Amino acid sequence: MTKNQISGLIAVIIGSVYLFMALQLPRTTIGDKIGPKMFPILIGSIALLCGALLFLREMKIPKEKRVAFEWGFKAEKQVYSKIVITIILGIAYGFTLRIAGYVITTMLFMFAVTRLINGKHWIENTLISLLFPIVTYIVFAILLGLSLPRGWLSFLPF
Amino acid sequence: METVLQNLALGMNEALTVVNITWVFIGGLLGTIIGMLPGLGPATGVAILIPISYGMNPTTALITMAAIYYGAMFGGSRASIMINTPGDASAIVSCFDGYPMTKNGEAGKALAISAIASFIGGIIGMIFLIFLALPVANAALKFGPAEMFSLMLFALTATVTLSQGSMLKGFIAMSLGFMLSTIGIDPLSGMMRYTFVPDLQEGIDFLVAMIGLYAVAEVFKNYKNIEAHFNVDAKSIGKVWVPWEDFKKTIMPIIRSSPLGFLIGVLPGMGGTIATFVSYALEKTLSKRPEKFGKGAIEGLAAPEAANNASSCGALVPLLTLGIPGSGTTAVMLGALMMLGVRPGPILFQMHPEIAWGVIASMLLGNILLVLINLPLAVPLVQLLRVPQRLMLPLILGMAFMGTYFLNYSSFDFILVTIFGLAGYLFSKLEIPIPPLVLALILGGTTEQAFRNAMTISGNNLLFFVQKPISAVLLFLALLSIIFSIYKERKYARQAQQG
Repeated sequence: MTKNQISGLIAVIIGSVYLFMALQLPRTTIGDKIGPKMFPILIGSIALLCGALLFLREMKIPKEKRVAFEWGFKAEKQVYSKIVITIILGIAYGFTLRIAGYVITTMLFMFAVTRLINGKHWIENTLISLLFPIVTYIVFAILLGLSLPRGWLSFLPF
Repeated sequence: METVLQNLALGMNEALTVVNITWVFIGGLLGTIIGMLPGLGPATGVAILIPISYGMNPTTALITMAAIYYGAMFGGSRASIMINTPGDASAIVSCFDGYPMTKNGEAGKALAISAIASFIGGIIGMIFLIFLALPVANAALKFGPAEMFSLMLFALTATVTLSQGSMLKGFIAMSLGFMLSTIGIDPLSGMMRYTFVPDLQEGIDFLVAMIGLYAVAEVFKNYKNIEAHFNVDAKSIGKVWVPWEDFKKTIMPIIRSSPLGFLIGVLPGMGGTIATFVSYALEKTLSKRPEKFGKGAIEGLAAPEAANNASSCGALVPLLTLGIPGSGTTAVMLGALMMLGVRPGPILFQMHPEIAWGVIASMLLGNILLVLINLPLAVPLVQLLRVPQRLMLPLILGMAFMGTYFLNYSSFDFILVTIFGLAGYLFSKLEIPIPPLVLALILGGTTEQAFRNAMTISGNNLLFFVQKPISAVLLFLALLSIIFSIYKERKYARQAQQG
């Protein structure tokens, strides 16, 4: 499949699921006459229509001229694995932030991320993961007065 | 004229406080650095710097955001000139003659003229903005729901059709943005729509979406060339100055390009990239020595630089007066402001003229400060280009996640921001444009409400939108841009078949 066909297919799938759910919304006229159903139906139809058009338009191109889309899962294995690890790290960061506090979690997060991206430059990695949380904590929590969770370090006076 | 001066005085009064001047300086400097770093565009820059505006009062926040924005425009061309790698799309044209100048040993001259042309372009753009802002805002005050709906539809359609890439994909991106905007509690009926989990009841915070789509996705894209690093030879830059005989050649190009850039900037979806390309093409046509273009012609660098900064002033016209962003960067700015409770638009000029005029006045000051930063500090600043990607990317990620947390102090947002990061990465692989999605997401709520209000007023009569003259004109323009786009795509397709 070509880039356009995949894009079209994605739009068709998302559009039809969205449209189906829009049609399930209860009909109500509280507040205004046309209610909360009409607009989603319109948008879902646009996505469905544009996606279908995009997909079908590619069928007109002779088969041998179509350029199949390469996901590059093999060639760019490194890139994809880095993306997956970043996503896992990011979500883990978000859910531990409030327990362990900003400074500690951010240090661990930055240490993992620099290891992932910067490789085994341990001195650079350590410096970044120590300095980033401390500097940002000083700037945002102390100078700008925003609230950041202190977690396990809440015994400290600042 | 008199009211303009009065307003400007009011703005100056508001802008010229120690705090605000400090932030203009800091914002401009950060913007310059961010605009300069390759692969880090102004939208990403504004997105990751959003947290610094928290806790500021609205005027200071808007002033700082604007400073980052035009700072990035100043900085964008540094990397084009020194290492032939544009910081963002609007700096591509600056490579054409900027990099050849560096190769000819004129790096200092190139850096100087780019700062000076940016400055003049910015000032001319500012003057247009000052005179245009109030009339546009006043006209927009008379807009009812029908006009507002048609205006937003026009802005979105123009963003889809005027920006590069396939129109159908643009409309797909737009409808995805609208879909995301309907998630949450419907404000008119109180009904829950598309809330799969309780965390979505409040809807998706568009700043989370933008940090994901721009900053996180940008990092993902750069995972491909982590080892990239550039060598900048500081000794060969020479004196950062333009001799008078060279400057003379650039005066007319700058004066022509600035109003042109401004006009293009006002239109939604056009922005800096198109402004720079058009002004370059125009100067090449008008030049007495077109053969020099591309080989280090100083006017070939000055013209797009002036056009780019003037267009960034132009882009602020719809943003400030109508509350409609025309590009990814201005959309991020709008998001950040709405978060602080400021809603740009015609009402802003009526209710809070000091905010609106304060930011305009601060930009005059900011442009002067930036040319002062960029001339003497050009050499130390370009050294930053040496920072390798493998050190930059972790810092961008750190800022992006920290910024996400500050938005709502919600762990759930971390899931969203990574999903948006992945989506942004896939979109760029499939060449689906991001700006229409972002604009639809941010304008979706108001568009739907305007549509429903207009329908209620007219008693469910769709013809209502064509019966109102202004609304009809806007819808006609939207239709025209679609027809133009279809024509353009057909022509390209035919050329591709022949060639």
